[in-house]
Amino acid sequence: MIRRPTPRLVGYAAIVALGAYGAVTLDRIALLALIAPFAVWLAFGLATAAPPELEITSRLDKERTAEGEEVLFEAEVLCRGRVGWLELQLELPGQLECDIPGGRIRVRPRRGDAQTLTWRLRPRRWGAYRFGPVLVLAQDRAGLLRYSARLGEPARLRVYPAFERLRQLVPPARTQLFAGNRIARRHGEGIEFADIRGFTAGDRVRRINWRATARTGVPHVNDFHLERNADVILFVDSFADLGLDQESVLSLAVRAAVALADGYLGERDRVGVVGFGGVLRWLLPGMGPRHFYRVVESLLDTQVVTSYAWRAIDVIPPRVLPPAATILAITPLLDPRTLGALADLHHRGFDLVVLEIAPERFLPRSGRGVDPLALRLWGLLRVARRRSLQRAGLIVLEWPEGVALETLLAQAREYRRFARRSVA
Amino acid sequence: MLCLGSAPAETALNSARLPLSLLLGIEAAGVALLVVAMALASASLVVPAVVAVAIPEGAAFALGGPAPWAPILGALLLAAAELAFWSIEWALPARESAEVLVFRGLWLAGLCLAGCGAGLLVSAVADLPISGGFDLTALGILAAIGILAVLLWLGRDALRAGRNG
Repeated sequence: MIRRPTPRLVGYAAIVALGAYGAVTLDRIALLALIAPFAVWLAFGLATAAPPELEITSRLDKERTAEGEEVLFEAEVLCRGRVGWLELQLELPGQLECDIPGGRIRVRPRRGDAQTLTWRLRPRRWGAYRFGPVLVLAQDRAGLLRYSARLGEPARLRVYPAFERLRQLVPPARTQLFAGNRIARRHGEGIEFADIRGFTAGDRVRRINWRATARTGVPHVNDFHLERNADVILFVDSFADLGLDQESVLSLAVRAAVALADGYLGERDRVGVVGFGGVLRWLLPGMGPRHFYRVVESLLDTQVVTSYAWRAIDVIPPRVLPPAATILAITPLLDPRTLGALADLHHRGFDLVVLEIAPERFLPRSGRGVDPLALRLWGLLRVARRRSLQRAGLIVLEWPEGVALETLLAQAREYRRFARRSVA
Repeated sequence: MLCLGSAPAETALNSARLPLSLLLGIEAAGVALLVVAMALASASLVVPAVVAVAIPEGAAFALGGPAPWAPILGALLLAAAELAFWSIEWALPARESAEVLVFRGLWLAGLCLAGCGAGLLVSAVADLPISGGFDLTALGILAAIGILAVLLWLGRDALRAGRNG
């Protein structure tokens, strides 16, 4: 521990020295009597001062939690020395709420007894947090010496985002080769009826459609759709963020991405992630419950990193973007680099759906400091970007305030159905 | 507490015919400095403020003020300084156990009383009708050196600031 004398030690010693000097030189015993309490304080304080000899063991009751759920941070304090009082401070990131003001606890430990102190933490926002060890300040009984150190173990807490369960998703336009819950366009073994066709060598007898065969006099068989899975890539734009920590564009984008990952993995699809921003991150497509946690863990590290590098989509490894994958892009369309990347993906033939988070809701409510003309221009710029994507044939859905993700996905389904009809 | 301590000193100063306004000005400056120290949470300003407040009292006693008041004034000054330190050290919000408050309060009261008692003892010894002489002076010098040595020995660890368990 680092030991430092407090201003009290130096100050009281100066008062005692000054008083004693005055008493001797002026021959006045009253001056000695005046400084006597300070001398007694110094003498008692120095006589009883000793290093605190602290041992602190700290731990979190769980390493992973969800937004808004309570987590306990416990520190067991064992003091073998003599301490006047002890201040333990847990320096926390701003997104972690603590039931103790300032995260500080002042206690008087008993010598040789272990004391357990508890901080109740409540994360307001998803993310990967690291905090601790505990900052300990100790003073001797008279407050003449101060000891400080960081004791205990640092804690790591991963907070998973709270997300809405989606009942219906945007069906991918194309399917892959693996078995799944999606009805493929190709015919083969399955349970979903597709068509009736003439019998060919190798067809199973049980597939013969007896009515059609009797009516035409030629053997006919039922054809079925294959049941396959799809590849879904979640494209999260992290070039820019707007809003407060717990409610921001990026925060909403990550929550939506987790909800979509949960929904598609539940449908036995393969889900991959591309974090497109100052730092480019990706996760290869995978499936299963374990992969859901991989997706969430990869999204937890999403943050805005300032970079002026012009990133194109070709820096992403080809395996991350498998052919015929459906890409769901979640973006506020604030950065033109995202626009270029989306257009590039569309030109490569990927099935692309853009969920545009309307960032206006994250602007300050008071509107103070925001020029209305600048705000209007900013809005028009985003409209122009959206229109340019729509003109290119992309599905771009604006996500305004108060609309659930499920509703937005329903719009995407309707849009796709309408587009098919209009093409036909 | 400081005002309470100032009352007997002012009486003494009146009797000593000192420029009262000057000394009261110094005392007021000391109180103002203490207020500033607490407002800025600066512990290093507390002791200069207490010294400034104590100057009129010290001057009064140096000029022959009533000695029996000295230990009480000293204890009041110490209590005022400690309460100021207390306010500054615990200015930041925290969860405090009642045990800490009780301990600090008792420690402060106990040491103020002990200091006051020590001051009264010093005054009482000084009032004893013992005449001077070489032997007594030498004893006094040795006692002073001894007290200084004891203080230095007690503070030997404090003078070496650094890492320690």
